[in-house]
Amino acid sequence: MDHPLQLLANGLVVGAIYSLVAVGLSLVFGVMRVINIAHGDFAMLGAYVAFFAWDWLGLSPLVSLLPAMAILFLFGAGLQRLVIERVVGRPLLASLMLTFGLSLIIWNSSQVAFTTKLRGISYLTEPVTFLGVTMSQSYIVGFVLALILTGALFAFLKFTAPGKAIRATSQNQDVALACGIDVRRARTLAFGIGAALAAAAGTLISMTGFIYPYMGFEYLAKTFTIVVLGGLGSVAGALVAAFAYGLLESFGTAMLSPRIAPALPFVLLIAIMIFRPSGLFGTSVADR
Amino acid sequence: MMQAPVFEARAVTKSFASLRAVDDCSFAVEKGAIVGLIGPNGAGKTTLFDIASGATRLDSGQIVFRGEDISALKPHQRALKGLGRTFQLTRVFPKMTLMENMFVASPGDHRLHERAREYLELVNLVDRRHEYASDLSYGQQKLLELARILMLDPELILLDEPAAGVNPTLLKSLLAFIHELRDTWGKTFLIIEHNMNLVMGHCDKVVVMSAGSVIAEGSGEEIQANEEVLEAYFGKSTHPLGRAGHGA
Amino acid sequence: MSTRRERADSSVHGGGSSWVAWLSWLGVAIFAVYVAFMLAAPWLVNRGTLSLLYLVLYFVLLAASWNLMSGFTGYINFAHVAFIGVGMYASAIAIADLGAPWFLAVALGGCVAAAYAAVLSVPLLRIKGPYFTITTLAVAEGTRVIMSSAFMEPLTRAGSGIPLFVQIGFETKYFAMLALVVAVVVVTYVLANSRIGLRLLSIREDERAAENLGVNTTRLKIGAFVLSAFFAGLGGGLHAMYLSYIDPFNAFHIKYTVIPIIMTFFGGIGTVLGPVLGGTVLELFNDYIWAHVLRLNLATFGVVLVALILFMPQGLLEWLKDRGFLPKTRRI
Repeated sequence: MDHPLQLLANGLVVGAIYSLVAVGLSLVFGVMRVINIAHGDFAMLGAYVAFFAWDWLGLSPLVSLLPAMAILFLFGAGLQRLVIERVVGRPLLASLMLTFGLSLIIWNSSQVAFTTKLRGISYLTEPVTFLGVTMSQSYIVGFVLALILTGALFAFLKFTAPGKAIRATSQNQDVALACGIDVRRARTLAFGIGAALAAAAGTLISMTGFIYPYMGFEYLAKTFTIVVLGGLGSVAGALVAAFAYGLLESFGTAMLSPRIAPALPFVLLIAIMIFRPSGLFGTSVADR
Repeated sequence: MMQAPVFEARAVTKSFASLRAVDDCSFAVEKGAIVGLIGPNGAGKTTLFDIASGATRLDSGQIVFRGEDISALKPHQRALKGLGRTFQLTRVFPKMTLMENMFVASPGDHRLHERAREYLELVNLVDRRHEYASDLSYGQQKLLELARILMLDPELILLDEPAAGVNPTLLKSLLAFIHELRDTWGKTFLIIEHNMNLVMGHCDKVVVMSAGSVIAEGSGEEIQANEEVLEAYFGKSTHPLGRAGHGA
Repeated sequence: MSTRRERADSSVHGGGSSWVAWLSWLGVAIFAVYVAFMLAAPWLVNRGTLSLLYLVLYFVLLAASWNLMSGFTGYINFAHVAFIGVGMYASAIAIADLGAPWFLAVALGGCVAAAYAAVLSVPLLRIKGPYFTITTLAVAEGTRVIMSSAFMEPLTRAGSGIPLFVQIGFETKYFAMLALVVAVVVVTYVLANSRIGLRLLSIREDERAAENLGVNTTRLKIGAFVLSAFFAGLGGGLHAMYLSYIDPFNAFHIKYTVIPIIMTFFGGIGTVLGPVLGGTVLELFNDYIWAHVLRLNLATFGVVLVALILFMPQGLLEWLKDRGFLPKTRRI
């Protein structure tokens, strides 16, 4: 088994990246009661934007991070305005199936466009050792960037007018409407921000691991566990749960037999659902 | 005459997080009575209904139905024992026909179709029995809900705001229906209602809840004269009957 | 006898004018013609087309078995492929390792899937709404991961998969699949026109109201879940012989959950013939796009799904019923 500090560091790094995906999913659910199955695919698309920027233009992922986020913001906001907005307020099943359809389109098209080859960016790969913990620079940069972006999201939600509009819409749409908040705009904005954060996560993944078209679905499965753990719709809960999950994965993989460790997220999710059907820190959600 | 109670809440208590929604609440409903349950918004009336019907579990106390403690039973078990309820906002099965709505509620097959038709006839909906429930008006859905409950052959019927959102004509037939069920079929009713004319005019007994507890119990006249009730509703100034004249 | 008249009367829309009553039997007639055609097909069409018809039947079976649980109760189950895959594995292991005859292997596939569903149902069916769907998605992925893990290798041979050789001919598999389709449609029909079926539907419509009307929703949901998994397992068990090689990636691929759901949505969720209609039309369509846009077939299904949700969320049959082209009957 690795040194506990090493496991702790690994867990925090993956937790930070998961948090970028998870807060967006939870934010979107909070604002429009839509579970976005295509959310993982946004991360995948962001990863490919960074990859091709590096492969074709020689841009470092740190440079392409912002354009990747901007592209996915526009993509997400456009998708929300054109398609997803039309199922807001309909039964959850409708939005679930709709975003599932979108996910199939994005994922299958990406398979054809990008092929299923595993890719990655070798960038800042030299290891750094500190307090007995060895880690490549890209991990450290990824960790710091993830923290900065999550921090920026919280500051945005707390201090800016559009951020407050998003929070108000999330808490009570009717009251938000009565206060003159343009809830439609808040939804589009929230969805775009969620997509942009997922794209940022994808960019960070592209320099710390492998990317492939199916990765969106795998990240989605983990993100579901995280978001359920944190309580659907709670952004702060998602953040805490993402780190908890990253640590659990890091220590769990080291301590459990690697033969069974990949099943961990699923076992965990099922266990949570059995014992706390509305999430660990859960604000409960109406049945329908 | 004094009848044995068919329903009793005994020291029922229920908290949500730090809020005591129902606090040591006790009262009884006698057989064959129409009892009104009133109180300001947030007094815990609907929570009490949820506890009685099994949707919410109580923290302490007992729900006694026909002399038996049913606090641990599941909602469907309570329904099968003869405790029926309706909801504040109607809960019909929208994409099922009226007849199908009726069939769901019947525990057995005995005279299924005849009974369903008979009860729909009572609420004047028999001609529409093959339409989807979603095609009915809101008030008609309330009537359907009431007719549907009868398929259970309940002893006690809990009605959550039957008059809300119902137009005066339909309300009249609804009230007539409730009286008929009580007078000729011996059903017992416990009714949450904000329409004070309805409560004072039609209930044999009124139970007043405030902040989760029963603060008064008695006939309509007694309640109208009760100082504590006035206070609970409006501070000291006005009386609930100040709202009179708008309802039935 | 008045009950008899009432029965016919009660399941049709608009109070029993006789042609409407007759129209309610239309679905039965159409399905009879469908089965007759499928029965005659081995003598009518070439082998390639017959393979396509076999796949049509397979997907109809998957869609109709999914519909038994999710169509009736409204609990959208994303774990269907777990039961298909478990049925495949049970059947493949029975044949490859135990030398079981094919029909016993198929039956075993159904039973193992049903047992798996029964075990899962106790915790799963306490979960409601979106959480149920998310959790079943996790169940499906978890089952795939566990079946491909080294931990299960002695039984499942993990990632390397199981080859199996079955001595029965293709036409036997074809007729067996047809028999399963007839069975699941008959079960759906009987259920849809029974009190139990109405109670299941009442869960979809409003579960709390159903409970307060004396419906034991938990027991019904478990029953429907197990029945649905049973047919999925039978289908998987039989299909394993068609594939003659199974591995976790293909046995538990998410598309075997998604495509049957889309098919059911297309035809009409919670109807008797919706899955048959959707499965047939979309599998033929799939074959067409497979030949023309080849690798974009899942994306094409995605487009169909998005269009359905936006423009015809209740599916073709309910859409026709709402517009009065079909009677509002549970026979169709």
